[in-house]
Amino acid sequence: MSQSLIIFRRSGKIEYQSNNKVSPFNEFISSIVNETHLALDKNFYTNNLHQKRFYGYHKDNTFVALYFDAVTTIDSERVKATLSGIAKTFNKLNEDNDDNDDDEEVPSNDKLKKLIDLQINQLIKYKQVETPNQRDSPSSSVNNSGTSTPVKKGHANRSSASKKMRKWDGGIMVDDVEDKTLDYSEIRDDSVPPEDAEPLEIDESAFIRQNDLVLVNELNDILGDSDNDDDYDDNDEPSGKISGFFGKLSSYLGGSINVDEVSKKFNDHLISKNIAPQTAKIIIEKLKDKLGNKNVTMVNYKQALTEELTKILTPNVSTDLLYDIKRNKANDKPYVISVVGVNGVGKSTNLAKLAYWFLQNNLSVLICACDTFRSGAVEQLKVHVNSLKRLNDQVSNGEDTKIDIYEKGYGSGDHVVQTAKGAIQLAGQEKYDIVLIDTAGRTHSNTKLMAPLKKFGDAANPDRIIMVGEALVGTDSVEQAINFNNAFGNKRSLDFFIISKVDTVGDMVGTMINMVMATKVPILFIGTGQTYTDIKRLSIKTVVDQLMR
Amino acid sequence: MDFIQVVILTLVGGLVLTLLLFQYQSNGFAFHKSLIPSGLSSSSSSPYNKPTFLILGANNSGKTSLYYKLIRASKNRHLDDDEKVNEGMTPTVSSMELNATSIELPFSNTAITKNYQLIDYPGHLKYQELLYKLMIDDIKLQKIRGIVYVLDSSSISINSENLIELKIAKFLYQIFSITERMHNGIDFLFAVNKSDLFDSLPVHKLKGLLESELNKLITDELNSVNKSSGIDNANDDDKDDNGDGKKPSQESLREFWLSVIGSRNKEFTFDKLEGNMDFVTGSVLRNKIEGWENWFDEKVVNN
Repeated sequence: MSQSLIIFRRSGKIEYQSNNKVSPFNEFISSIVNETHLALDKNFYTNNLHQKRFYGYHKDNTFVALYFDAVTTIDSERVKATLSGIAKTFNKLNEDNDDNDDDEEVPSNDKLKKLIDLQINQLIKYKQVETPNQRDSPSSSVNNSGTSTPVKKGHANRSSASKKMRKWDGGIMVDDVEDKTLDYSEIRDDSVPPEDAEPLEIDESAFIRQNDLVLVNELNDILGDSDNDDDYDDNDEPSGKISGFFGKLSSYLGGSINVDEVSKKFNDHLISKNIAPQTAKIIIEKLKDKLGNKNVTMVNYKQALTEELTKILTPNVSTDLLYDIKRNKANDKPYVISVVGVNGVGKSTNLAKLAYWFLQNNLSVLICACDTFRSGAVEQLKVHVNSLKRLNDQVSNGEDTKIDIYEKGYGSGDHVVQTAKGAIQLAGQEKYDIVLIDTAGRTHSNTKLMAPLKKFGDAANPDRIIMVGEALVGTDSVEQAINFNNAFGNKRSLDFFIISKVDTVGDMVGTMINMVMATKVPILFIGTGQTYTDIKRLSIKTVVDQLMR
Repeated sequence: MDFIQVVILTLVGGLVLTLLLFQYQSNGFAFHKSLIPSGLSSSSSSPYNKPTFLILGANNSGKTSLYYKLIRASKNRHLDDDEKVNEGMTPTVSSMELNATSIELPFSNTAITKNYQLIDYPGHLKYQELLYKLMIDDIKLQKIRGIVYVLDSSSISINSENLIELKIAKFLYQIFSITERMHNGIDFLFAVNKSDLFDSLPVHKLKGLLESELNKLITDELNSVNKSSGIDNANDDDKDDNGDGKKPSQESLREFWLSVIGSRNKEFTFDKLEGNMDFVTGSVLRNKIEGWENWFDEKVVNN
């Protein structure tokens, strides 16, 4: 098994690298920036990219990241402990370094290397020791939490034929879940030596050669020294805090204020803007983490919050739909866009708005009525198509654009899939550029209704799946977004949001933040009215201004 | 007696003042809140509001490496040859936040140095919106002395995903509409990095590629606008939202590009921009940054 470890700063400067395999980390960092990583714990992330498992840990400005090439069987808690240990070691040595002259940099780097190697080796040894133990007590440490990675189990000694159960989270294989509890076929292995039963208590130094003992002691000193670092962060009252009245007074005159107090205030402010309480909490926690536990001025805090909100709303992928479609034009197959959402959010309306936009851009559109459930849905679309046809005839200046509807009436079961397939086939034959598929609205919490979505997604295989969400909805928007995002199985997820009815909420546009935060899916357009022209590209600046107002 | 009166009056006066302040802070919060954004937007206090050189570019093009390289080059001038720090590379990974430092320019002449701010901004798409804000509100366009746009010239990175080509062109398309707002524009240095690689594209080819990509984007913009006659074109949305004219880029993107290329049928070339666009090859890894240093010196001396 090969691994690589780096210590780096936010600025991108690498402070320490265990070997020269650095480039894989770039992708991991991108995933941290785009927040597609999985947060196991505060300041501790993991992600699976290109058959590599990455772990990252950060404390203030110091990041420690590690990856393993092969499939690993290391307990994530252990990795975290190791990484945080390394971060401490590094910071400690760095401090010492600052005190001394620069001349001593080289020897201390050597020491750093030795200390880090030591910790890595320990980590890997733990893994080997752990294996037999896990076989004896499989159920003892199964982690029940849904989001965090369960403790990894060693499968090394087990027969390779045993099948692993896998746990999925948002398209990423999170972990091999211990299947021991389900596997009654295997006879309990009693040959495990008893001394391995309690590996946690094994003296670390037993593994280390005599001449490393000095290092071990030093390491223990460092780790012991800063053990209470985290507690200190929480309990320490800022020393410079001026009590009560004068503190408040100075805050209004541009002086510094206590982060906790402001956080509370802004937490309420965000919630009043229709941001779900749990989402607001995450944002505020992130800010606190970023600003540290020091006193900040009101202006600083506001600025940081503005930046954070901007960052959340900025898409991490290209949202140039037209460009994609035009590139696809060379293909025989049409570009398929499907619209999903809860009942009554405006799927059909926004679909028609999109169709109108495409027509204006010289693209032919076939609308497919896949809402074969609600009575009148097909007729509703027909009305849209008819008026769009009229508009298109008026406007069309020599360009050969067309719009039509493909419908096969109402029905249930496979009917939806067949309609969609038929539409795509027809569009291919008759040279339509785009197929817009309207689906039936469904309650996100009803699994019976959500299940067909996956089947539909697999069969129609849309190039883009757009979810329409309404700005009116409050806290529930988080659930809606998550459920729809997961409804398409683990290989597919939503591509964009269209937020409708934005004109009805004034500046309480928190729903956007809710949905984007929950799924990391960017907002493509916002619907702002009743007519075909009332669809707009999201102006991040405007939204953030509204939220901060 | 007079003395006591003075003392009492002072005490009463102090009390009244304290009460007034207390009143202000408990009731006047809303007032205060509304004060801050305006204070923010004027933001003359922004720490970045200094004469600045910006280093931009896509991910993995070598911005941060160049940044450290330039800092080191600036420091090394003062030293004799034998004292120079080893000219190695500072190993870097993708940055998560901008790097800013003060750097003494020009490189060639230590006698007339002035301090400039050098900012290295990460290439993540997620941070782009913040970049515009940084350029417009924090640094202020007038203070930007020049922008170094780092390009990875290896054909692998350019050919592998059309996306990269698209991303770069799209980014330039946006950024030009901001920088060209200045009279005479802002000068760009296209630092064609990684020229040491065997598959590195020659400068003129790279330039041609960028021009044709930008041209595509511009034609699309101009055509689509004409067709939809401003009804529903989602491209030029938020006019009414941004009525304050803070971000003219959105509302006049089309007019801007039209004015740049002259008429609808003409092609875009970099020469048509007001700022000077210089393409200079080099390699951070091989320490071939003289061409770029010269560009810095020229900008510094001429300004």
